Amino acid sequence: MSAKKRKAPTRGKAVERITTGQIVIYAILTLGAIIMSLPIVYMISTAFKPVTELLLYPPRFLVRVPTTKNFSDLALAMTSTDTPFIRYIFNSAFVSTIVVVGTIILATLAAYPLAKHKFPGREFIFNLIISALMISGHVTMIPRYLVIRNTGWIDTYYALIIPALAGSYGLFLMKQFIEPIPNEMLESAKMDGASEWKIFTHIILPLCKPAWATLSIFTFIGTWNDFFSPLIMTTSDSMKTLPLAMRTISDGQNIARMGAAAAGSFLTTIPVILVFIFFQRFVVETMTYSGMKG
Amino acid sequence: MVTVRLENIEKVFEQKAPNGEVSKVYALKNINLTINDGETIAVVGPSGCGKSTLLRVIAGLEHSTSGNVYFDDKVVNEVEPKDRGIGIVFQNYALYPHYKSKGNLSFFFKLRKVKEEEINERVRITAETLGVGFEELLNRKPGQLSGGQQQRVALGRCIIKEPTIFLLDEPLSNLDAKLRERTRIELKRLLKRFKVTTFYVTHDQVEAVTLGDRIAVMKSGMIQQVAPYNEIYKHPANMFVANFIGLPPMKFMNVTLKGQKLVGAGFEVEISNEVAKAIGDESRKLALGIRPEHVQFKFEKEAGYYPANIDVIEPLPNEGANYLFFSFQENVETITKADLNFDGNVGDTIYVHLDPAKIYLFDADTEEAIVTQDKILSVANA
Amino acid sequence: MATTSVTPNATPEVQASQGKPRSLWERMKEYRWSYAFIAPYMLIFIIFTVIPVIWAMFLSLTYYNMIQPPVWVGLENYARLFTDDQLFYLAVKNTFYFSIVTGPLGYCLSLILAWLINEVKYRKLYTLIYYIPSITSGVAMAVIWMYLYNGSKYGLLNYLLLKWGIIEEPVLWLKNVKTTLPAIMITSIWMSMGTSFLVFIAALQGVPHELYEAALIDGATRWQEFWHITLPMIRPALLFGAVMTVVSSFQVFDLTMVMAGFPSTLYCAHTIVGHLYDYAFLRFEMGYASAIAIVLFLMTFIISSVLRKVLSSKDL
Repeated sequence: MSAKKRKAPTRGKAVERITTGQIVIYAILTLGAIIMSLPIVYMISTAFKPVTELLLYPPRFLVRVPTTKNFSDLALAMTSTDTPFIRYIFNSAFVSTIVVVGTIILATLAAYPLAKHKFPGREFIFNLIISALMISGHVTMIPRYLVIRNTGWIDTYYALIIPALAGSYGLFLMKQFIEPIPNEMLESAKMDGASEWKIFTHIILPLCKPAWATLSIFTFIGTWNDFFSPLIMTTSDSMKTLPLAMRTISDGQNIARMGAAAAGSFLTTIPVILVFIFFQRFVVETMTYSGMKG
Repeated sequence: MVTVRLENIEKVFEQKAPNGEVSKVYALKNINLTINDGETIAVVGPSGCGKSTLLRVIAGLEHSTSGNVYFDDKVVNEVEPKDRGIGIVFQNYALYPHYKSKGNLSFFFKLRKVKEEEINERVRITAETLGVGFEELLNRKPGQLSGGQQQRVALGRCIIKEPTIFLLDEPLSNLDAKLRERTRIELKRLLKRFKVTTFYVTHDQVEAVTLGDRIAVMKSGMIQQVAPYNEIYKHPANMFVANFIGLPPMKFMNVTLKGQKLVGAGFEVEISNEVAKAIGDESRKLALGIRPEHVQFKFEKEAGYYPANIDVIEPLPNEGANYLFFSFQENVETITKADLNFDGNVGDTIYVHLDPAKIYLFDADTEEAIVTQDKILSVANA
Repeated sequence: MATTSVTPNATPEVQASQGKPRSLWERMKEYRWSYAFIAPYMLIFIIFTVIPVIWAMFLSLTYYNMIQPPVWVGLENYARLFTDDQLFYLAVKNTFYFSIVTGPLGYCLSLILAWLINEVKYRKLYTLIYYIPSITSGVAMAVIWMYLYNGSKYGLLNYLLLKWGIIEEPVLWLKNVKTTLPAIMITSIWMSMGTSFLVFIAALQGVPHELYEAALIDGATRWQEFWHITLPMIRPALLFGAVMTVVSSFQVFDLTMVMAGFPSTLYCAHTIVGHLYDYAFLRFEMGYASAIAIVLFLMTFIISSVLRKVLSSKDL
């Protein structure tokens, strides 16, 4: 709230006119922003370059005669493995979507009692989940792999989806978000005769919507970009996700295939960027709730 | 020490409507005000009236769009806040939460690399000034202090650097009622002792009365009236001030002039020739107000007394009175004071007399005062 | 049963105030809704996180090749790791080198940029531009960087450096033992304005502006304000960011695997996670790989704890 009330940065407000100091800041930030976006611009530009331009010497940064041929080549580049590129896109999109939906449901369900009920074992469970935040995924990767192998899920969507559903971060975020909801609100609902389930669906869920946006973005990005899990959990080509496929295409020395590779990168990164831009306004607001009480 | 003079201060925001039209919104409009050396001006007004903005303009935390701020004869518009010699107490105190109280007090001097011994000496003197128990607060962080203690530390941080101007932005509004009362008196004592030019922003008129040598009433970015309390109470410049100053607030009834009488719904008031002349036109829409203590009532009918219904009785033992909310024919409530052993009931009829020498008359359209009690403020152009 | 069925949702506080001491079981029964809500999450969490952590500890003390059942070997895996595995030392060295450069650099860059962004208008636009690289797929962007680093004269970097006369012949950036890791670090720093960056921005916006005003009136310079007000006020965020940065920089693998190849030239970009991957999923020495995992975990844990201590000490 206080962040919203602030119309302008304090110093800026006190001064209100643009000072030399501010010009310097703008200059630094703008220069940095240009440098930061160069690789992305290069990727987009290269994805639309025809072969003649790829093999041009001296190499050019920007495309002159854009073509979509790289994208159709991309499909061809994969034909040797009998898996069309669209299959990777589908795998990534399918897995990410299910993980996002599942995470929201599970995390919100679990966060509500953790935030609002004083059931025996609450502290213990919460501390357990918090310590999991500290543990890198690689420690659990081997036994996870063994568990999945025992269930026979290797090389199935289950292997990519189910373990991803119980991330600590999502639960933590939701709990931080639910905690400030006034208890009086829940109590008055109880007085009105609402069951726990009704309280959850009619009060908690609607109030959590802003947090969902944040949770969805981070879960989506995390799953979409995940490289390690699909690397070990999948064996066949048709189960691969985009990052894995990108690794197959990548061959930094072969300039001629650069266009197809850039097109692949384009298809891998642009959806994430768009999703983020779309939800951006929610993110910084909810970020305040994450990990900050610490 | 310093006389603060505000000259034609305006602060304008441009607001873009959804249809793209740009309109100007005045946060401050045409502010002219002089705070004399050593004087305390209490600025009151509803929230959003611009009183805090005005304080921030004096502090240099915000710039006005136009107009000048003078400290004595010097224009300080471009002077940095730190060089204005001001001490400020914010509504939420804005204590640095990571420093102990002592650190908060000495921050100003630390920044200026003042020697440790000198800082300690100043802290000691300030603690002495602020009285009993302040010493104990010094080694605690704001988080460990109660609201009242935080308030004292904030005050300490303000006075320790010996400012020539105090700017107090609702410093008591976060305290509970009892503490507020006590602190108000303490603050009064401090202000009397320091004789520092003070700009005191509040929404509470009791604070304004206690602390302000003069009171400035603000509304929508404009100063409505500046005067000592008695003057404002007795002769408010317009309906807003009349309603805002005085507890309970003044209520207004619609009346019109008929010859030598003011006629309202269910009552009449005989007025003098001068007043009638001041009103002038009979078609003029008028609003009549009266302070509760000036309403006279009886239980029996009598000439000049008009029947009214008691709607609510509010007993206020510490004021030694009952407030009766009553209405004539129309449902416009008016208030009168009755003594504590008043034995009427809600729904009873009383007979009310409005003393012509005590009434307030306003133009209902412009809301400007025409007559306040015995004083005629404006005379209609013949 | 009878009592609870009358008021199935009575608040526990209300019941507690009735003063009857209740057994743990009774209290748990009262809260059965809470357990029901949390159950689906916990089930997956236990199967895929809690049990694996314990299992990993156990496995690290065994020899297990997935064909025969695990054989208890005690601390032998660790002994072998620390005394007999030169490659592990190289991986540790590379990982530390990588973390010590990219961690603090990325962290400070995030903080400084967040601070600068907080001072200007168009905050959202700048945030977006700096943040976007961190949400792109590391592998996908690595591919683009590989073309920038291309070893022939067609590579943009080589071309520019040749043109400016800084180098005389094209450098095989990702094959040369000296340049591989630094090249990957640059890519990594490019991607490092991530979660900590956002947390910093959120924290900076949360500092009450009256504090800045109070400091302004006290006469603090911009630097003093940053040092005395801003930094202490966002300390929880600083801590959070530091831990996040350490944990993530110690896990570097996908960038090195894609950019330098696996294995990289003379293992010049071999990392701890790479080592783990090698033993676990290429050689299927699960016991030994688990020992690597546990060591990695302990390293991140110790460093995070030290950071926590340093950053949360009261007199910063």
